[in-house]
Amino acid sequence: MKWFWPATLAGRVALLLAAALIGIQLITLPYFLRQRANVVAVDSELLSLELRDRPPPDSHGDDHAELARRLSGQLQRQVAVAHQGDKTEVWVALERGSWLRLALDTRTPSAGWVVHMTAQILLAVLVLVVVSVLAARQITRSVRLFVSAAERLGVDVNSPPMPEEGSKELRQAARVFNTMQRRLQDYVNDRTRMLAAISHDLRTLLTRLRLRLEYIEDPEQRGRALADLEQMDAMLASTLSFARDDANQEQPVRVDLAKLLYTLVDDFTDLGHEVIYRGPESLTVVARPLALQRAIGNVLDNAVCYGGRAYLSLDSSAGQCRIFVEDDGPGLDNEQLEAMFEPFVRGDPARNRGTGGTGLGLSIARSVMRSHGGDVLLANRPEGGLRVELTLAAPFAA
Amino acid sequence: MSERGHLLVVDDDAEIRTLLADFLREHGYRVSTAPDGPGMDQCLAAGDIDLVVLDLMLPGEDGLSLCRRLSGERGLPIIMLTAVAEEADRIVGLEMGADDYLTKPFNPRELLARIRAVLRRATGDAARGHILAFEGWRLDVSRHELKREDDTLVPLSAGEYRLLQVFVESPQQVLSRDYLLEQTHGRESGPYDRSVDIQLSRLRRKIEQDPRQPRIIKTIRGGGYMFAPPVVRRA
Repeated sequence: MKWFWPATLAGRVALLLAAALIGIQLITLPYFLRQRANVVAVDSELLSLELRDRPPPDSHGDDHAELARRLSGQLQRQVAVAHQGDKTEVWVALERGSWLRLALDTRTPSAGWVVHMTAQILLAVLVLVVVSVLAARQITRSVRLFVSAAERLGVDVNSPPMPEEGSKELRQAARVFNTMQRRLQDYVNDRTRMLAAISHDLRTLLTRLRLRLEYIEDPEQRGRALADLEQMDAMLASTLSFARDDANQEQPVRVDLAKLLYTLVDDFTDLGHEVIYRGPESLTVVARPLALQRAIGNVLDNAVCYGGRAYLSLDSSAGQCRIFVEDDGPGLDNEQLEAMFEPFVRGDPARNRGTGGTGLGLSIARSVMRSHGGDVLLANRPEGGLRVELTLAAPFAA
Repeated sequence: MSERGHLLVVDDDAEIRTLLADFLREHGYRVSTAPDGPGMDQCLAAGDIDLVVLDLMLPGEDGLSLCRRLSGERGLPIIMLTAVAEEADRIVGLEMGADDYLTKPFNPRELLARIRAVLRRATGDAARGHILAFEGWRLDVSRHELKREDDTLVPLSAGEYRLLQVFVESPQQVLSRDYLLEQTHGRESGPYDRSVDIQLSRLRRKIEQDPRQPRIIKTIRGGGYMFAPPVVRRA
């Protein structure tokens, strides 16, 4: 927008109304001035008219010698014009030494009326601006209500509906908004029910298989079957978790983030991976521990899978919590970086990697971190390998 | 093998009921099964059930409602089976009265360990309670959560949790490494086999002020380990 065009609705309404008022004043100004000129002429009223039997005192100079001379020529009489304070006196010589004295109020019309008029306009503009700002505030308040309702809906589809109150238009808009929200809720709930049903059925089968495994005698076959089963379970869990948006279902609690990272490091170490942690021994935040564990676990999974060794670090400077996961792997093409967050996109194009994975890891991680007011960022390290930054704007516990 | 207790498995899937019952019988338990709420009530009426393994998703009256009924009326120990971990979190959060939970598909040996632990708690002389408090720490054995004095959750791995649970249930006693190994993970081999010593050092790092000079879990020379502080059980 241009410099003179305010950003807020209130500002714009006030500016438009003020401009309209000044415009009207400018249009009527010439007429007003003409009127004013007439008024000035009429205002020069005759203050007194009297016959004097003596001439004007000498002290009266000929202030208007030219005017006096011409009047005298017209009247064929001696005429004197003199200023006397606020008035102008015209003396006309009559017969036998008597004089006619006309005293006219000829105060020059002062600049007072200009100031007066300008002040009047300014006052009107001021009142108008105040009233229009108040009116626009009233309107924008409802717009702000919609903004915050839409924001809440964006974060949680089950957020409370908008109050249907206020002006007719407002009530109508709120009703439409609430209907939309209800439809979204229905859609999400239907989907959740469907996923729960699928999940239940698949897990029933997996549970049976897991129990049957106990009867496989050959330890090698048993171990492999167990690994298959666990991979299947992990894929099912991540897909369902992504689809159900679990990140928003867990209650935030006070949790020691450093200890949570230690737990992850230990779990990965037990699976035979090398994960090195660097950071504080203890850091308390308010967050959703299961969701965080999944998000960071997903990123670590990628790091050890593509990079071999993973470096995990925690940094809580500048009122923000940052978790870095770095690896020595090949990294990614720069144009690939953002695409990695798309669901079902994987770093290896063939999708046939024996390590499993659904391509949901980073999508889930990002959704989790965003639900914590943070984000996940990918970058290639200058020394090679990938660096994943998970930020957390979660409030720090006192 | 001597009989260790009478279990009731409630699950709507016939295959799981049979497989689970066989598995548990092999490990010395007497097992009854029921497909749903009415079936469960019949078995309970027949008497002498020590513990119920209850599936969350059941036709008719669901597992949650059964669970609330069971723990309210009879005070029977319950282990819930759920499909999703977050669901389990909510169940226990709602104080439905389950003593423990497992997420499907579960490791049957893990179930055995949980059954043992819950039965040990239920038959112990101490009153039943989900919170075990020591030195400012609180271990919630139904939620599997360890919290610090300031109510901050300190995440534990499954192995650390099991080890800590064994310790707090036998405080101020010398526990041998073999006993700890048996109590925490049976004798399963494979990639999940972790030595007790590793778990212990990780656990100490999380709960001890100075892990090099442990004051809570002490090493007894030549004997094993001892959980030093007294433990208070609360509901």
